Amino acid sequence: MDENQPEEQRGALQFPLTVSLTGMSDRTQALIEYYIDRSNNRYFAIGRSINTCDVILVDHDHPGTATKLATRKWRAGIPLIVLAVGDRQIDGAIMVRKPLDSAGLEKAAVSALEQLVNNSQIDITSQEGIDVDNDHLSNAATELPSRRAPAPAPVPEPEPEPEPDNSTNAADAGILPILSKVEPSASMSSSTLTKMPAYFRTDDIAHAGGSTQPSSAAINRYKAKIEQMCGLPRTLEQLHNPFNPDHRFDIRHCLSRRIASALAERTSDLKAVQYTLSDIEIYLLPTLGKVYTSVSLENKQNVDRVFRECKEADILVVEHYLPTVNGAIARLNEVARHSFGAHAFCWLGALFFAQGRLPVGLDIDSVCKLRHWPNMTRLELIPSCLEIAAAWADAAASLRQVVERVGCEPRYAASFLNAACTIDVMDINGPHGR
Amino acid sequence: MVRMDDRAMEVHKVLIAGPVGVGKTTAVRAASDSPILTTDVQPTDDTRFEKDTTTVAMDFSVVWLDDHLKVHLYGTPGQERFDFMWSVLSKGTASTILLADHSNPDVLSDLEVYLDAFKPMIEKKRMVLGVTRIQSSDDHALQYYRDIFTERRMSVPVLEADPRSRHDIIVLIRASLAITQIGHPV
Repeated sequence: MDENQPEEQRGALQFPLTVSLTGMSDRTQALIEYYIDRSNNRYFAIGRSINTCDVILVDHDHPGTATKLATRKWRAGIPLIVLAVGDRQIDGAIMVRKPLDSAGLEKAAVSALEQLVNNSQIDITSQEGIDVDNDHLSNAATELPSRRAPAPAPVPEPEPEPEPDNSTNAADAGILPILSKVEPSASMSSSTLTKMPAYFRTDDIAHAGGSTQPSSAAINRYKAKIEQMCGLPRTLEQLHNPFNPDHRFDIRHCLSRRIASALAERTSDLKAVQYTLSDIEIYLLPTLGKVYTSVSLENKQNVDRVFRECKEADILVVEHYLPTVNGAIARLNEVARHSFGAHAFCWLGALFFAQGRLPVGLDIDSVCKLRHWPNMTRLELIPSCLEIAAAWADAAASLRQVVERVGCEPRYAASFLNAACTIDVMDINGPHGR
Repeated sequence: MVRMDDRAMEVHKVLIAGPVGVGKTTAVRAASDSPILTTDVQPTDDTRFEKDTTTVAMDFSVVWLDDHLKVHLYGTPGQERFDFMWSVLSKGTASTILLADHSNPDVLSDLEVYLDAFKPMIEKKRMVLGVTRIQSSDDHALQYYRDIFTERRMSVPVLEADPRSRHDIIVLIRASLAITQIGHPV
């Protein structure tokens, strides 16, 4: 066997590895089978059963696959190859970037073989057709139930070792490929969402009714997150007190309100706006309807610095007209780490800033009505928010009335009210008011 | 899974409707907590130029929203020649999710067929619209649909949706049940 062959280098298992294709559409499956049949049959053989294969190959972008990956529903102990759009990383998985090509599959095959060799949980000595030279593997427990009948490894034509990919990965370099590379596509909605830090996803608990129960640690994390967005539980009477700073805030210091106002004003001239808070930079690009930040908002300290501790006077605002917008975009490419939909950012900022308090000047008996539903699939969800939205969209009502109608905690209704006001979808004492 | 609690189990029937190729089967599949039942066949009409399979009767799956709230999710066939199934499947429905493909230049005429067919559901405020394939998350696309409903004096929440995203479909289901619950308190 040629010394350039990966299996020979590793001296452990033989190709082809039996691969089970699952978590993908029939079309994708047919495409991969074609690749394997035509180009990669030295490395892979199609296996029909997930229980007897050496490797599992899934399509991350197929509906349901991401959930299964998150809950690790596939067989443990065997390599998992994941096809995905973009530079996605999943712990323990071998990622193959789309569009699929045979070189990508080849590299994945080599990595899968490495994993099999290194996996001390697999007693490959008991399997036929596999050569073992790793002593430490011989005493390991059996986890591969049955394998293919021994097949002589095909003797492939010598070919050069694949060139290592030394190109700089933008994500590795800590730079998000923004603008042209992260431009939304027709199918981007969910990917935008999944790119948002897991911290901001509240549906982990909402899905508790599925096949998995959240752990107590997950519930505690969720409670802490809700407290960070909606504050501690408070009564209507506490919210009603207009003079207690623990239950009231000054809207002039709310950064997201300023950004939302700028977004509304910039819909005609589409100027970019840069907000500098000490060493933190935030960019609003109305053209894209996006906000970029130079720091991660997964970090509570950053959240506090951006949304809670920052005063109006601390923020340096620069509007970029055509002459300077290119410089701003260059700077943005350099510093931006996270991107958000502009409304999603303002909504989130309002939750973090208000933490379930009401602004000075707004009463729990002020009558409000939603002009239209906020785009709740792209906004941070808080408990009962969809019922609260339904109530305020159905009829003009005060916060007190909505709390009674929905039967929710006052802090959730107050948080929703603040956030809805921030993105300007709520009429207060307007045409529907008293 | 064992579910033990004193609260009674609620089961709701939710329908997903919309034109051919908008992503109804995908949505049912994405949200599902169980293997889904499909009636997909190879299309023989013009649909064959758009996709490999099409639903001829219904899709069905079960979604648990929490330990006490189970949703029976039905997807309708998209072709108008199967519209008799729409009324069959609508019986006993708590709420309907209508999907609209924003990339379709003819989206409005497609939508009109469904707005007429599901008018009773809209009048009872039991429908939400999920707009798919929006190029960017800007509000203008959604405003287009809000304006259509305002002109027709219809109250329908409009939300962006990716049918492949479980999160999006769950939010749509929850929103549709929320408007039903608020409009018709138990």
